[in-house]
Amino acid sequence: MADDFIGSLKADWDRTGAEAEVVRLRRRRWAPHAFLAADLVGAATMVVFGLIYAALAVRYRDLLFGLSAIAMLPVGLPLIGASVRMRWRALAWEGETSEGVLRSSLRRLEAARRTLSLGRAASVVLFTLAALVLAAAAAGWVREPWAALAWIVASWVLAGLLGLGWIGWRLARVRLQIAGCEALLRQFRAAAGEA
Amino acid sequence: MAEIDRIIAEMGPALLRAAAAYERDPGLREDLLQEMLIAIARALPKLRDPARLRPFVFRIAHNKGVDHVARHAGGPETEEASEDLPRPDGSPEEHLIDVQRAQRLRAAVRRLELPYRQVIALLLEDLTYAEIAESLGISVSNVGVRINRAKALLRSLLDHG
Repeated sequence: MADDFIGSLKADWDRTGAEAEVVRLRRRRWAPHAFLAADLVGAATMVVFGLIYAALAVRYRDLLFGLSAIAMLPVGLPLIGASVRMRWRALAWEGETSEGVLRSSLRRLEAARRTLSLGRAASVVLFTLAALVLAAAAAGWVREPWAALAWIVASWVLAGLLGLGWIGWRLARVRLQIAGCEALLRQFRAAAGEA
Repeated sequence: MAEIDRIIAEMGPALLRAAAAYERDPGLREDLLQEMLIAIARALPKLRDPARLRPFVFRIAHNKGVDHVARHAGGPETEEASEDLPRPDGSPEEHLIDVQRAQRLRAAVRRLELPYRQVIALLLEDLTYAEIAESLGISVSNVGVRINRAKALLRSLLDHG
């Protein structure tokens, strides 16, 4: 099947595999499942703590517990849910063709982009909650001492700032990857169109 | 596990070359090779006809390669690493020339666009057009077209760098 040109390259090509006596299956197969399990545990923990804070807010009529529940349930839960869906999709990789693999990668990257955008919105909510805590404290609606409130507000703001920085960096990378994937897909479509 | 061990014994060098067609950094190439082996081990129960093992294994390996390229798309390019191939009985000069020729070929193959890179890599593994078509999920006629184009591109890259 191969012609002279290919035949002339064969020896050079085969040299690459000459060190293959070291080839063996090394990687532990549970790693991707462990990441998924960690996300699920994270989601469950957020739900449990969010529900506890919500119950405490109702029972003691405490605004701070209420805001903490808001930070955990409607913000954190969709964020972790999106992360779980993204990892689940990565685990369910079923590439029949190269184009299928690329389409699957694009879906994964789009899911990542949506998750990161959701994370950016969550960071804004954290800043809003911090402002609400300060406003509530100034109005005398919160019983906790100022030092405790300052620590809570500072941790929320710091988490929001760190989150925004990381999300910005990741979003830029994901956008580059999406553009790269689309370029690769175009290569396959052009090659398929040549037949 | 015994089946994947047999595949590694028989096709390990070919799978290493498949990984080399997609990744030039030796460390990342080893990662990619492991991804390929894991994917092959997982997919083996789906193999209906043992006679179709080679196209089956290469399909998974090359799809993993495409997945690897997609995951690193938009990232920084790594420098071509100098690799030390096993030293043959010949002189050091001959060994150096062999190493450089092998590196030059791999670098040229990696510069091909993916559709052409795949067919050349499979052709260099002595797969028939029908096996290449089966591996890539394309028609035999498309394989012929891609191979013609790939050979012209590769010849140009090797002649003119």
